Amino acid sequence: MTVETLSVNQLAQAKGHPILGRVFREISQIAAMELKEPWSGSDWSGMQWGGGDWAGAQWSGGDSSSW
Amino acid sequence: MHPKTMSVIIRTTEKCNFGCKYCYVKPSSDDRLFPLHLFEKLVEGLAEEGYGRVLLYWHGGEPLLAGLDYYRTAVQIEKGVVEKYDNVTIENKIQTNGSLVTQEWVDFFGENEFGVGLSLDGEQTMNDRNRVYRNGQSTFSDVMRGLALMQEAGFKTNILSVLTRNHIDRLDSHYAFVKDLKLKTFKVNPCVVNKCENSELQAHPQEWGQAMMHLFDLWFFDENPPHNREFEFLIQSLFMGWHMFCTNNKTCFKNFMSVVPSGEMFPCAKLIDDSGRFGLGNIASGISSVMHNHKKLSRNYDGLGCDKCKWERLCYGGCTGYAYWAHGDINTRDYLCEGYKMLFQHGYDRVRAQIWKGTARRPKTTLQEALQ
Repeated sequence: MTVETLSVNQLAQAKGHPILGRVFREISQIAAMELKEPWSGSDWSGMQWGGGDWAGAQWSGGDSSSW
Repeated sequence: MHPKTMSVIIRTTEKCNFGCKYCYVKPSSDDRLFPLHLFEKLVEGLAEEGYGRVLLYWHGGEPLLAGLDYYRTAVQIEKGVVEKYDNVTIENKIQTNGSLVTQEWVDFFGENEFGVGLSLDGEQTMNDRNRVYRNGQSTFSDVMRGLALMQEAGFKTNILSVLTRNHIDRLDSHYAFVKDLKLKTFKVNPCVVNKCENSELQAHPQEWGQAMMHLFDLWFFDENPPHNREFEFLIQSLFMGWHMFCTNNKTCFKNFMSVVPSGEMFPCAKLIDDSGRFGLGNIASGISSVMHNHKKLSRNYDGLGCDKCKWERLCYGGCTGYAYWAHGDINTRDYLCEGYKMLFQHGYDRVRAQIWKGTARRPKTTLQEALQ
């Protein structure tokens, strides 16, 4: 039982929203490192994330990130 | 791909000039700093173990009590390691209460690219409820002075606040405070305390969930919102299917460790335990045995009872440390489990409604109406 993942294609269309636009840009950056296959297109359907065991996971205890 | 990464939370000192009512570091008269010869052994050891990216989180106690020369030497040690090993990067982050920040510190942080988090619970009445000096006096003006110095220098300023039970009805003013200060980022941590300490400050999971949902809305519908990693990672996870915080990611025992002034190492700052239950060994004995013990630790994710929860893959039972604090067993779910479910669902509903607003496709739910 798991929640249905939302579509990045739809997120791309909502990027006028200040936060969703920011999230879309960050997902695009993560994708460059984390997608299982190299990808440079615009259709996100069927993208296979390598995540779940991500070396870049951040510590939640502090907030000293340099955005 | 990312290089092999290790995040180390360094309890630089156990001493602190504050006496915050919810602090999980027990008051200490131990003046020791984490010795820099052991620091060198640690970062060099990680480089030898093949870690190409080392993230150092300087914590305490109050880490600025170690003094500027301590960090100047630490940075020199880091430069030596980076020069000696190919393809190793070391990043520094420091979490301070802000009261000791001077122009010299600000210059040092800027020159050495430290990420700086400043702990502050909001405007004065909120902050001084729990964040006070050891004699009970207000810390607010001293912290604000430190924050102003950093802002005047154009430093990216982040504040980290603790959401206690006596704050949950004050989040509107908290968010207004964050906005007034034009802060770049803010984060609100839950107040989860060990059973024996100040449990009246700990919100019930549902209270916490409700408060965080409210804060999410203040932020999500803001036209010019500051960064909030917790909420942004939550939203990212809805699209990627996995979460970037250690608390909601199975890398908890893989990419994190913590060290205390004696050199003893632990898997996380929240699992520093006098019983030695989670002790990985002392860095003075070398990194190999520490890493060996680190690899033996794991959490039984299959036994957490999350398989019936639709948020399992985005949450993985929440924070191991909070689970241990609440239940004395890491193979249990985070104390805040019910609150997490509320927040995940709320974020999901809000984001789904918003992305449907941006497309021709209409939502089947009525949430969109709530967003008009």
